[in-house]
Amino acid sequence: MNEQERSRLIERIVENHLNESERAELLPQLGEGTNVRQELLAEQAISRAIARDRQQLPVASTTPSPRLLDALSNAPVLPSAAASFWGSGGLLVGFSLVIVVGVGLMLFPGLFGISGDAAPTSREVPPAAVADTSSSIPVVIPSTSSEPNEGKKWRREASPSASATTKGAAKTEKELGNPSTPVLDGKPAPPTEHQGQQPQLPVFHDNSGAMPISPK
Amino acid sequence: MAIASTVLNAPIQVGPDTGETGAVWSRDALLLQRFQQGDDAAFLELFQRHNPGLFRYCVKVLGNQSEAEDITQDTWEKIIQLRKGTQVVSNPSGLIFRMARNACISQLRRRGRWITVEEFDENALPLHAAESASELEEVALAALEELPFEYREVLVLHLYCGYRYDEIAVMMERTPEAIWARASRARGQLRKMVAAALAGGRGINNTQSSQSTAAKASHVGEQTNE
Repeated sequence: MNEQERSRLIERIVENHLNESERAELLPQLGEGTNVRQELLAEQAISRAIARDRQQLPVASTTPSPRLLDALSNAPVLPSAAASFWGSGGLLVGFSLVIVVGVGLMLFPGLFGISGDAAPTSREVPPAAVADTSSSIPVVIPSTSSEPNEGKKWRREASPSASATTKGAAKTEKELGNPSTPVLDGKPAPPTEHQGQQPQLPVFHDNSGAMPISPK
Repeated sequence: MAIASTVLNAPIQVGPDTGETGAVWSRDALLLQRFQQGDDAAFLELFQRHNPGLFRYCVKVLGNQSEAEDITQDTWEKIIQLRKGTQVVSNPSGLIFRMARNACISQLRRRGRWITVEEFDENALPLHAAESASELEEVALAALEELPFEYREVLVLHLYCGYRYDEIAVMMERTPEAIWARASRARGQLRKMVAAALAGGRGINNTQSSQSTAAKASHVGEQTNE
């Protein structure tokens, strides 16, 4: 038995309030002699002294002092809180959100309240138009060119500013369908006499049909 | 000032005297983190959990209530200062303890009362023979005061503050086995000193030895400067 085990054994004998039989079993392990008795008495005295001294110690307050509360109230919070937010990925999340919104704005402007029809209706004019005098609203008939990109080509030639509204034009084409198969009143428009020819500038008519209106 | 928090209102299953060590310290880490994020109630709970033990430790190590109050106050003010930074503390109880411990060591150095384990003379005490039980108890307390600092603080943390050895090991960043061994040696030294007083022989007239130890005590040790 080394010194530590012996020390622990003495503590057990003294502190654990063993009964006589248990103590009688443990005591022989300590050996015999006056030193053993003195050690046991000393251990008893230490235990009693510490127990008594512990009760006599002044009791600490469980509430902070006014000075400490004042320091607590004056302690700044923001730097730590802000740093923890940005440090914990808030910056990455915020940056990603900006990217997503930006891309979404470019691809789906309609979702953000930006109409893609605004640009073509203001400036772009289909290559051919047939006046419908029966309607109070002028009807626009798109080109019936056999070439798929004829309409775009015409728009580039007719309106140099159309390149600035490419997306609006694309949306317009999408909504109207393939420019080579225009739809009029739900039915494909019949081939016109302009097919295969250079597209002409559209001509608008007012309701009475008396005065053609130039798109310029 | 106190901010209600559902997490903080959750029942605490463990304390310094009961439960598992890991749960106790993780709770401390959570409290300190919440305090750093602006939750004053977390600080109050941390204060209530550790201030009694911290104060008892300072009182027993310093032997002076006024100085102990000042050091515990300063320690908590330093903890409050942690809110200004973004430092992540994984062992708050250890940090609190080390702050107080260093302040106590500095105070003891100013007094010029310092004994390292190597310089410790177990014959220094008792200075007189104990004739009765109460007198023997006084000798025991006096002997405790004369133990080397490393020995004394482990006994104080365990016997007075109620921390288990594994908790002390976390606080002091040592292994539980090392703390247990240190505590056993401390208790053994204490017992020998008291037993010597009981025998009435060795320490009674050993004035020369005690004077020698007192001279050594004025030396500021380097080993325990952690």
